[in-house]
Amino acid sequence: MAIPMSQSGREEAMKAAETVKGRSLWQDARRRLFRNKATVVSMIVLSIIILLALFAPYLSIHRYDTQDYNQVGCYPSSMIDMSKLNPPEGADPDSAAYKAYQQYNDEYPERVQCGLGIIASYEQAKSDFELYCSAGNSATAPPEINCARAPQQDDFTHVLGTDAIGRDLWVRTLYGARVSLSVGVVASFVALMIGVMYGATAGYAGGRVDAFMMRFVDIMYALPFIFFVIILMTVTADIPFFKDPFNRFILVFAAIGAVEWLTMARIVRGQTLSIKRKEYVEAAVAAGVSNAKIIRRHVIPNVIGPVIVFVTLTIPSTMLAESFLSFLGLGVQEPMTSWGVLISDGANEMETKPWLLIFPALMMAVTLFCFNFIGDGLRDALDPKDR
Amino acid sequence: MSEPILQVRDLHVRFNTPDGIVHAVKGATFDIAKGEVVGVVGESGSGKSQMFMATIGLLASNGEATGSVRFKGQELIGAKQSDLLKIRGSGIGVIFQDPLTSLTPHMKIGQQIVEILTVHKKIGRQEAQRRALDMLELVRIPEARRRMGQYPHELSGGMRQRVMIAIATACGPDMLIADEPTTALDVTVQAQVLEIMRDLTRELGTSIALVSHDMGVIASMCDRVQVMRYGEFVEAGPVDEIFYAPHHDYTKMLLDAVPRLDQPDRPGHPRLPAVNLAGRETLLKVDDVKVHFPIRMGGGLFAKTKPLKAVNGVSFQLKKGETLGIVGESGCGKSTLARAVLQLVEPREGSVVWLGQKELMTTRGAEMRRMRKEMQIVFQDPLASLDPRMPIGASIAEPLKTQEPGLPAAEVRSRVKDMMLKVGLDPAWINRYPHEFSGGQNQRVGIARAMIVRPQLVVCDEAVSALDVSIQRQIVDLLMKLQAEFGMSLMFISHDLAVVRQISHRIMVLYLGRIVELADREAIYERPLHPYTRALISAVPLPDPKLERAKPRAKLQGDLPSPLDTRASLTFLKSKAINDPDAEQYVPMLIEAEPGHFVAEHDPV
Repeated sequence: MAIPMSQSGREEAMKAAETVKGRSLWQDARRRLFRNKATVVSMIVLSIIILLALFAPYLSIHRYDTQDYNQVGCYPSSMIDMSKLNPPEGADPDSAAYKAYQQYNDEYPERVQCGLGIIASYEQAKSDFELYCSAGNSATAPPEINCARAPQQDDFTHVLGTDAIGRDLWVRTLYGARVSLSVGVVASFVALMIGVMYGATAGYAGGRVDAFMMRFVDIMYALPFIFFVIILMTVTADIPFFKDPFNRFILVFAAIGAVEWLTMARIVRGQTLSIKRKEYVEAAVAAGVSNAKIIRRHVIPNVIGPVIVFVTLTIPSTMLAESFLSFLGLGVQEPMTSWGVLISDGANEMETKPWLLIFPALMMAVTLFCFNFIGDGLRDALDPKDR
Repeated sequence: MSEPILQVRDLHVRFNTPDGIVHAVKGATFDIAKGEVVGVVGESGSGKSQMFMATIGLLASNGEATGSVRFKGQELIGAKQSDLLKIRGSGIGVIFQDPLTSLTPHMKIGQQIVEILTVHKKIGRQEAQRRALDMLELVRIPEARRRMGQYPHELSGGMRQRVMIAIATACGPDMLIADEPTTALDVTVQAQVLEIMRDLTRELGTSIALVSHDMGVIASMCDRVQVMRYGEFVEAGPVDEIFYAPHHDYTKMLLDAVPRLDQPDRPGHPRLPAVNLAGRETLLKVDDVKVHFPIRMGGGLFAKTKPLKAVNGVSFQLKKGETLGIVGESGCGKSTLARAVLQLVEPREGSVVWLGQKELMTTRGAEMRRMRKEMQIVFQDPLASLDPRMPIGASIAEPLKTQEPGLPAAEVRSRVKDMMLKVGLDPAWINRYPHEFSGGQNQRVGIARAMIVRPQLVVCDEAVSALDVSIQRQIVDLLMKLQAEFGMSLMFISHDLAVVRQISHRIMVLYLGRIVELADREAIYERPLHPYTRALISAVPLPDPKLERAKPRAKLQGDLPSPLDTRASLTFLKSKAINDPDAEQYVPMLIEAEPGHFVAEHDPV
């Protein structure tokens, strides 16, 4: 409070303050956010997961939809060492290479059997195809050939093992990340946007408008979620636009978002009702600030705390909702997959092939942890008291 | 002096907070004798409340008390919980500041007193009931028998505080700790509560430790005074010595900061410039403004509504550069009136004419928003009136950005900084948040925000009521300085008559939504005509012990009546009242008793 009021003192204070620029809450928040270690680590981990999901096709030789009946239910990192399937050519049975081959055969007879089977079936298919080509007849259909090339070491490598029909789990988990992350983030974002704007408007307007808007929310609540989605899916089933799998997928977002925003709207409305009566809102009215700006500048920044916490809870619930829809055949369709689908499949085979559950669940857990930490960090960053 | 009833020796209170140890009380030492009233004064945060909380073992869980507190020879610091329980209530009674929250809401008040009696006195229910009734009568609660069966929310603030006193004294304690017992009450009610406490010491010989920031209350009640700052006693002594011959600078500063109802222009304070209002242009002409809120009576779908006449036909004029003080007790509609003038409250009727040409009551939407450039408001609670998530620079800039949207950012910034200097804030603080500042600093931010668009009218709604006296004085001085510089008109609303007298040219007294008296500052305090004005003025305790002792007390009996009862508006004109709570009543006229001195019709006293 010690501000000199003399002329020279004033000028000095003005000069000292010359360089100080006004910062907004958001600029301050960014600074505070990057000071929070847990949040920064979470952001890094989450970016890695997102990058992995984006570049999934280039990260492995396997495809998410290729079934390999010779490698069904392989253990994680179970590796068939191709070089040891057959005895080294012309090797002395006493040589080191031969001994290694022998040892490998003794240790992993099933791997050797599996690897030889794959090679044999490739050879068989190849000879069938060649026979067909040389015969030059067109009466019979060409025999199927699985691989265009001879099997190589990478074909036998599955970092996270394979599922019940021989698909590589690592690749499928990354593809699942694409679906789950987009559903989780996009649907929550849709819910956030609609919910915050709807709730803030209802709460701030008050009176009849509020009553009308909230009764609409109540009606939407009364509709069973799944019933609502089924209707949406059936209604749009015949529209050509939604026949495209991608557009259909977008519809899943919309459906989930359309349900999740209801709770958000209620939370925001409740908060807004209390903020509306605060004196700083009255001060803004007295300053002549328009209602839209009051909502944007004073109401929304002040409801952000509970909203962000709720969003971090919404993300997992949208991911789970998606897997439920997929289970009913309304969400993503095989062979495309999502974490929810992988986890529910994995849970069915938990006793015999636990890795099918463990790895997708672990990925999802890590992701949700990241979202939670980022959410907490954001909430704290947006609270100026937590400087 | 007889053996002291309470002996405090080297009492320390420390709080373990996330920001480190807070040393709230640093070695307090004092005695309280039997039948003595000891006042402890100090500004907020001086540790005066915590000292007594420590005395009776009611510190918050992160607090720790060391030293010695002896009550009638028994050591209280470190005493067993069961011993403390025995002493609390039966040995030491406590009255807290907020009568609203210190009574259990779901228990009838009779039961609450009976509970204390049965716990401490081990007497039967019948006997306890009878004693409770006696207690309520002792604190002068009208219709005590009926009140026994009422819940706290059915009683007014003053009534509740009396019930609190009844509870605190039910078991005949030897000492009463009164922590700001009248701060939340209106002056007339305060006068009654103080009177009751005075009687208690006289009749029962109870000692009282009175914690207060109000020098007037201290002067009227206490035998001895302890002045506290930053957890230490800076001065102690008999009340006359402290008031008439203070030694310590802090005591002198405190006494100097207290606004005096009897001495409006004291040396060392900016004087209100005498202005000739006659020749000035009328800024605001308010005519028969009414704000009636519909109150639902009973429940159900088709509940009846009754109008609560918060403002019921108020007319006045405000000249350019004039300060109009608006005083009245809580619920008299002074804030509602200000909001009706500023078009911030619905539903309203009547007429508010701006500069003789623009009718504000019918101005709406964007046009009204543009008009707001000319009229701003400063609120009571400095912290609540600032957006906690907005740096103060942005808060101050908001009206400017709204009213002059084309202004370049650099210009906004320089004007904000300039205004911050004018209100005594460091311009380098623009990026700080309200919670980093004290109440006084935040109020400066509020004033800067109101003044940045150079309005012609500023409404100060209890703008200094939540502040400590020293800060209060600074803010009042600041407002007077700004008025001299910008020449704006002020509507200064307060329940504190002394502050209003300091700053206002004319003063308006409101009672239940109507003007009872409107006159120049000298006239209204020196020649009050209306009995209500007189009662208000005489109820204000003066920070002058000798005057206080000599003062005859004109008492208003009972509480402010319910504004829903139409008879209430004729409290001072009973001869014309119709005895029916729902009847349409006679409306008392304002009479010009002498030039510029208006008074409402009233029965002769």
